[in-house]
Amino acid sequence: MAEKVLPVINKQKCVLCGLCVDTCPEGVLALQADDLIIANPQNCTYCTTCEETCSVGAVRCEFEISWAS
Amino acid sequence: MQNDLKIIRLLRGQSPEVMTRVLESAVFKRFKTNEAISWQADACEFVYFILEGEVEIYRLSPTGREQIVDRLGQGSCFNLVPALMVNATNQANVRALSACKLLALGTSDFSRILKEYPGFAFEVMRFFAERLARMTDLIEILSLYSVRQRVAKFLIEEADALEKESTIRWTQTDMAKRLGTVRDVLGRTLRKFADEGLVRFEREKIILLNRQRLEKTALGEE
Repeated sequence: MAEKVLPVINKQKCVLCGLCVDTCPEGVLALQADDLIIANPQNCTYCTTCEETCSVGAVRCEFEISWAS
Repeated sequence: MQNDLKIIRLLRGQSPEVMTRVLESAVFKRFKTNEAISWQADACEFVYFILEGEVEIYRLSPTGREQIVDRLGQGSCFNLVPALMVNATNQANVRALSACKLLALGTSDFSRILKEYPGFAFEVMRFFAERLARMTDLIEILSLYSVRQRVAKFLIEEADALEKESTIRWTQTDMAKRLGTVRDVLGRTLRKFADEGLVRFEREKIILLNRQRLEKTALGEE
């Protein structure tokens, strides 16, 4: 089974503001010991709220655009 | 080493002499993901050829809003325009989207090689013609098309590019920057397209469902 695609966090850009943690509707992200982690990947629905919320562009939810086969 | 250069579209088909001249004069440079490669308004020092990786070319407004001008992958080149201008500065900012290996050729060496090898110079002119056509398209899209039309056109082009084995993936933020809009508007437009049955979201994929209707949307007919 293909690995579940998850948001990508750029730790160098992340300022640990915690906004993405607060706004994630599924509780996927967490701040732990000065680090932003994906604590509950199984809950992620790829809604992209985390990327939308991040004001420094530290979270990326990438899309592949393709034709239906 | 010359075989490595055949990855570069502008150099493919050039004589071994041209390849040798480029290799003698150029240096290899590596950049990490997200690393800045060059800054707009800095003195133009190099022409770059992409051996590995992808780069993003963008401009910033005075208020910090980004406009993505282009994304280039293996085989492409950039910074040729200012390299041929007198005392020119870089025309845009460039950053590495992935780990990159670039071949950097000094601008004076580039000019010398063009003068010495007219066949290569003609390929560079052809390259400029294609870039000019692309930029003219971008101007048309940004100034004459609605956001809805721009998004439809963009989706069609990216899906077609994927069929030609492009590997570029886009976040909604990136798409907004490319299309000259903001993320909220882009997101609403995509959701509307999904509601209208034009696209379907499958986690990290945007699947385009109806080419005919998307093309009509791009033309403003739907």
